[in-house]
Amino acid sequence: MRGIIYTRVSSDEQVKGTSLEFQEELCRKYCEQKSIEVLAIFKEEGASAKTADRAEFLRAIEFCRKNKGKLDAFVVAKVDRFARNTEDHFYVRKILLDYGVTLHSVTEPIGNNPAEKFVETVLAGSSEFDNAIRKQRCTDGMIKRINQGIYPWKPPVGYKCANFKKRGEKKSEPDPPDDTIFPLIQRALKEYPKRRCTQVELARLLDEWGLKEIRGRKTTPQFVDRMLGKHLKFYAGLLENPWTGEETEGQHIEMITQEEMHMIQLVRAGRINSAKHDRYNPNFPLRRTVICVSCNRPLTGSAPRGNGGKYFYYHCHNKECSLFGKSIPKETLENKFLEYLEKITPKEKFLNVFKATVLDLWQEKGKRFESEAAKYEKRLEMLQAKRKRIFEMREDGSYDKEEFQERKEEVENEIAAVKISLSESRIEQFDIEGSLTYATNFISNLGRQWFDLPPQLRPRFQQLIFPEGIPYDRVKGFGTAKLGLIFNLNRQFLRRKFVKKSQVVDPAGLEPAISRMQTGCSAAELRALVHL
Amino acid sequence: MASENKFINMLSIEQTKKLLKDPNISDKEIEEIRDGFRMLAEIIFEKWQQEKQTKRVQKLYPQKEALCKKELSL
Repeated sequence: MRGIIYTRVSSDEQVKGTSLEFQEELCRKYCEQKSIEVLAIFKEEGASAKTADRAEFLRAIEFCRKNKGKLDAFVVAKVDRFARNTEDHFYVRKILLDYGVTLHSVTEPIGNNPAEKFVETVLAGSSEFDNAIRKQRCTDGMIKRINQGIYPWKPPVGYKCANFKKRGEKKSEPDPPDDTIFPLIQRALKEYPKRRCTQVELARLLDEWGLKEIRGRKTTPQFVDRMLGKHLKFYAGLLENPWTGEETEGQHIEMITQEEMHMIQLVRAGRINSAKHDRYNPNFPLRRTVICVSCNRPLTGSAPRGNGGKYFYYHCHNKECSLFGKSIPKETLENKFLEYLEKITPKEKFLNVFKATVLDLWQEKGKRFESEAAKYEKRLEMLQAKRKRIFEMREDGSYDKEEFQERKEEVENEIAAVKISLSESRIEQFDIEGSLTYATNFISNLGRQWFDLPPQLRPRFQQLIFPEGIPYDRVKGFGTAKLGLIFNLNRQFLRRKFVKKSQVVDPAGLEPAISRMQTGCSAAELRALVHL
Repeated sequence: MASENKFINMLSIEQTKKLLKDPNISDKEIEEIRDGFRMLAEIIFEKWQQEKQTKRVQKLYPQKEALCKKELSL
């Protein structure tokens, strides 16, 4: 008879009774007694028999396949060395039988007659049962630790592991914080909901704060993902039982509060906008307003780098459009837009409504100025009293000359600032006529105003004038756009331009737009009309 | 009429009608005109406030402003 020996230990620290050498010795003696010629010995170190996914075991099976008909015995010291799973046991045993190989156990009476088969079945089941019991004991131990508030595994980055990998010494105390990494992770977790940055940005920030130097490797977005996901509860001082999903208060020092944890979870779940998405790029104010003449989709902007810096362009981003890839320089498009806007004014017949709206709005906002003014007055009174006290303290000797000078200057600066704010709010409160003039001047030259508008106000302004956008052709320029109901294209302006060019005196009725805008009711008349 | 309460202190349809003096404009158009002007007035107000704010900062911190300008020119 010919055969092979297979030995296995589940860890390199296995007790003497089942060590590889001891198993081999037993198997060799058995082979001698049964006159089995040993062709090969397969030794498996540190592998579990829960599954058949073991490198040496697979090599042993392969050896049997290659030597089909030449091999008779597969010798193991005990059935549980072969498999600890009943299904695997009988599956592999059948394969071996197909190759003409019988399983032999040194210490157990197994074989192919009915009694031996029965014993083998019981032994295979017993191995699986033994394994299941051990697993259960291990799980119970871990659950017990969790219930005590101790994390039974290696803690996440930011904590040092108490008794990690020390054989025989189970964790009996919580994981202490890692003094160098703990504050960095804590800062990142606290900043995340405030900054609403992406995981890539947070990884970059962590490296900027020094995490890369401490850990000796670059922080990846995947690391941040684990930090904000899998390990978040631990950082908030909670331990989760993975088998039941129950949460327990951990004994370790938490990095963040549970409120902060919930905030992070909300941001990540998308219930609160995570990254601040700037829909309107200040570099491309006409993005989304100007539309492609070919495919009717809004133009977008990009700034490729070239010789000497960035170059800003608008272009159509629809790959199927005939104008895809044909860019328009930012300056060209914006100058033409400015020219176009100069031809637009609100309809003159609506001027009174506009003025009344301005009055209403200013009055409404004026109420806020009133309350602000009251606040400033109160603050001013308080500061005046403080100033008086400083003088008194100088007189009774509480302050020396230098201290007095310093305190006096400090309070006088504050008084000056509050006085300015107070006078501003009073002017804003009562300057109704001034605000009307300001608003009328605004609408008399929309082009100029668009140019001067702060970037965040431009999109609203454009949306109001061109609710459906304005088409642009590279050759013909701006096409006909649907204007908001209150605006019209001031053809008069064009005619005036033409008249000026031809050096002819303006005919009556073609006076500049501004003077026409300033006609209509006065503020008092408007108020009377509205409140009739 | 619910949309009339969108803004506090807003002109009513009746008041807007009086100001327009045009019987041919429908109520829906009147509402659109009023809302359009309200939006425009708000943009103007915000711009006006920002200008005021800039002036206030210049008044309070003239040295800082001068420094900024100097840095920009450099």
